[in-house]
Amino acid sequence: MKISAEQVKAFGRLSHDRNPLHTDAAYARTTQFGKPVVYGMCAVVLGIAKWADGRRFQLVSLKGQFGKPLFEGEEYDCRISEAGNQVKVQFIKGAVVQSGFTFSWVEWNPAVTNGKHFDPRASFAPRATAVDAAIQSALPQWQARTFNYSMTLSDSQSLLALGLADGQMPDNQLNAILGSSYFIGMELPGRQALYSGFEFEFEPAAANENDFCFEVTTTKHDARLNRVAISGHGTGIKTFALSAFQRPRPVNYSMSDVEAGVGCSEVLKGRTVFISGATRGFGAVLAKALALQGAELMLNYRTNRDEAEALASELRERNPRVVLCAGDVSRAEDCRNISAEILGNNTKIDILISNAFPQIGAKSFLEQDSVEFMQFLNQSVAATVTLFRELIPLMNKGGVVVLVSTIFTTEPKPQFAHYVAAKSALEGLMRVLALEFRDLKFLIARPPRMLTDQTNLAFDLTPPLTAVEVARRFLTALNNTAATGNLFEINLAEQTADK
Amino acid sequence: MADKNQIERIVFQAIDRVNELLLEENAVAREAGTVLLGQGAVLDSMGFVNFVVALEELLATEAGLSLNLVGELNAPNNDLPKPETVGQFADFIFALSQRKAD
Repeated sequence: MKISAEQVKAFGRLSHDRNPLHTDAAYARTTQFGKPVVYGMCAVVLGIAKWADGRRFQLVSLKGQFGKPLFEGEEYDCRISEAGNQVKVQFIKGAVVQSGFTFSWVEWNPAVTNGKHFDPRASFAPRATAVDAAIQSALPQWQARTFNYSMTLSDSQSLLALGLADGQMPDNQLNAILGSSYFIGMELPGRQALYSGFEFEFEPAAANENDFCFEVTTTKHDARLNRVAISGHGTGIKTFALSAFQRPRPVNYSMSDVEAGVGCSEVLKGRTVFISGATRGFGAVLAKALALQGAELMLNYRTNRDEAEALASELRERNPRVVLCAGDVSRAEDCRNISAEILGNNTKIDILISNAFPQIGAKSFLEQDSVEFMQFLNQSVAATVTLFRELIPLMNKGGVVVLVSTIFTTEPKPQFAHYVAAKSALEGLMRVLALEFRDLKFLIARPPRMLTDQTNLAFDLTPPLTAVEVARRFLTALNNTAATGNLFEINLAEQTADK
Repeated sequence: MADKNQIERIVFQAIDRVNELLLEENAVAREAGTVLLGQGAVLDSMGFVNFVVALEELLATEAGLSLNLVGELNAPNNDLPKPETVGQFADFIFALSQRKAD
């Protein structure tokens, strides 16, 4: 099963849940997921609809957890198993369950209840944007409070896009499912929410009430895990319990943060540094660290001109010698254009840093099919190979070619086979190039896991180093390439002494 | 006070909850030697969080034992060995419960 963009939009229209994690690609890019995530409850509705296959039903209970995110357009095995009136639905990729839930059900005859269609409660006006408040201050106001809600009515097209017909299941149960998504994503925790689990026990007689509400009875915040738990009852709901994490805000290392970590000097004055993928994450921190050492910077970015201009402006306040080079460095044509631009400016490169890399997600080997695995490998290897092919000829004698690799190539980590395979291939490339280009130096820098948007988790068992600290170690490693030899392999997980 | 057998049963119940989200072939084994934390752990970060949250809830409801397991696992001055396996978790919790009772 593939979840389409239209189905995600339909869920958004019906539920009024406009949390930017699901609707705003630019925002999602600043999260650990890198791209919009499918609403967890959208998958639940799709799973139920697939099981129902047109039959009328009412839920007795519904319970599940969102373990891993689902993405639009990706292929999942939606596996449904049934025993009596107990149903288990799992969204599986490879051998890994991404999301799963169970429910029990009975047949539903709307004529037995009043059969009326649900009318929106006048007092419910959906928010246009999600609440963005500290959870501690928001919690008390939700203690013992009624929350009126109504899904969008008379939008049978959207409902059909999700696989359900109007009147196929009780409105209050659909409101409970959609309303929980709205409540978590728009109210509590709101903007930074990551919905993680839900449990509903429904009333035996599922009436189509005119009004729908959640009666929130208790809210709990676990500050250790950034997790909130909400429970209560509601219209046709005997009990409910919802849980969600509050994701941290995007990581931002300011110029003064970087200066505090790496200091300021003129050791790189007069030296030209090219960095690929320089305007985000570790690349941006490196750009700041190198600007503070007086380097002349050529910063590559792929598509986001505004983001690149903002970084360049920030850097120019401290160092005016910054130029931007647009282009996807995994594409030969873009690299040729960058090369022509550099040649046109009569510039030679002293330090060439390959940092650009596709978004890295934790995925076990069998979770990716061969096509996906090879696409990742091709794209990530091309981003260094193509860049080096065009720019190494533009380097000054004695220049340093740098590969930003990873500590995982020497200390492998499960769920990163694709990442380690790509970086290991590039490390091999560096070793051979060091033999072919004797008048250049080659540095394989292996950062440990560090805090960037990609590793910015709600809860982390092993908190990573800051990117500023890693940049400080990187500068020491770069200085150390002045030593004899032309191949250096440095593990940035360890403190390196200046030689 | 909860005895060791009761604590083991509760640890297994927490594993059952975690297993609700796993395929049968990937289910966390209800065995003392199953590694839950550290090198060779069968759970990722989110899975481990779910396990600890479930464990804390079950300890409170089933045994009346209110423990801050996350805090105890991260406490730098904790003199108890950090548990990695299912069996070590049961031992760890038992030791904490005894300490609490003293």
